[in-house]
Amino acid sequence: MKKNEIRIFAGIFLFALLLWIALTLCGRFRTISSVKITVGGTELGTYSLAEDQVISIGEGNICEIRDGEARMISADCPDQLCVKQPAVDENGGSIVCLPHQVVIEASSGSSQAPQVDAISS
Amino acid sequence: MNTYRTSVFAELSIILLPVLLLFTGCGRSPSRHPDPISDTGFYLDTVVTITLYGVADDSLIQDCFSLMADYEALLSRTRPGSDVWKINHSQGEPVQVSPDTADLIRRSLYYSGLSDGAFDVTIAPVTDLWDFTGEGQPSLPDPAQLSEALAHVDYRNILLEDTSVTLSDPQSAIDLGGIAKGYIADRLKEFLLTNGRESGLIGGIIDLGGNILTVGSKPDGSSWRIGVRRPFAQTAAELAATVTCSDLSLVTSGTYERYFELDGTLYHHILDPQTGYPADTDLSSVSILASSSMDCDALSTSCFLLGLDQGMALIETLADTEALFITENGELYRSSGFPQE
Repeated sequence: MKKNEIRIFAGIFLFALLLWIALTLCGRFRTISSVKITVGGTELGTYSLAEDQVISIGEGNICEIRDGEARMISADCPDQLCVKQPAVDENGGSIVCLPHQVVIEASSGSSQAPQVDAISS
Repeated sequence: MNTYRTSVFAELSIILLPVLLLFTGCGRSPSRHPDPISDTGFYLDTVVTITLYGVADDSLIQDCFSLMADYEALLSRTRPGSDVWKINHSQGEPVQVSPDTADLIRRSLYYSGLSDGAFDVTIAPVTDLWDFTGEGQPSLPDPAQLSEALAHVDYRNILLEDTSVTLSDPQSAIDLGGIAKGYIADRLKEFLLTNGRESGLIGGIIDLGGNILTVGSKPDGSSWRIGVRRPFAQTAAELAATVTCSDLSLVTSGTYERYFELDGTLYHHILDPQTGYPADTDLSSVSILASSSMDCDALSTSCFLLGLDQGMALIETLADTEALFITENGELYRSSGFPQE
């Protein structure tokens, strides 16, 4: 009887522990946010927002990821609109350079982010 | 002993099964609906993103992109041989255009009348004198050139008869940029509704450079949530407001996308056809919510130029058309039927 009780408690404990580990792992996978960079519709790569880095895009554009935000820091085209565009972060959004057909698109990893389907601008 | 072993095994299975189940679902969306298909293209000097739910591949999106290319060939100002190019190079002679172009011009003239000339597609000669590209030192147009160009800005110079267009002032020129995106979005939506069903299309979003048009509903039947960008926000996802809607379009005209600063003054790209200068209305943006994206497109520019009081008065006369005005101070003004969060 006593042995059985111990086994039941140990089982419950083990179950809780495994559940906690599984949920933690899931949570970690979910909150990694990244930006996808495409040039003329072709994917250049996906870059983690958690890692500070500078990415050269083709010959003309340079994207910087710092403190969880990605922005276009330089562009060699006359049209400097992309450099003026606000940064994108884990909450989503995109930066577009029309002349070079570059799109930096943030994909939200966190499920807590205020999700909208599109942004009118 | 044997029974004891079995029970331990059973216990372990009971413990491990939910954990394994949890892992298999890990990282996927809890919804049983498949992920949407999305693709981005570049047409008419803007970025086009189409996102569709319920379809198996992006063939419908590619069809939309080829429609975009067709419209670009008709409506581009810079492409020789386009309808707009032909009109602008007609030297006052009548030009035969496609029914789409004629329709678009007809609607433009309607909005010019409705806004008492605030919306005017003959602004093109003035637009050409401004440089909002940010290349080199920003500068203002030469005032003499500007007033010369302004003399040719008048929507009443466009004579439209069926599909024949004549510019009564040969030095006038048109630019349909203020309405074409909305018109094309509506055509893309028509195409999707007509041809999407057999591909399983449930709904989707057409994003033409920030002009949003929703199609149908989400797979779970819920409405779409569309955000309005906060003017001059630090990050792209900073929203001034959100709108929950189905089968509606939301289009915003704002000063914050194309502008330059000179001697402490902000010069933005929404030019007033009366003065030739950026409209001085204390507004940062106007968003219009209505079923037709073309209405939204033309009215967002019209209302921006009219300013808060006159613009709001115009919106209140129109059925099923709502507006959100955001002032330079960041104050929000909603028309009577604009949804409150």
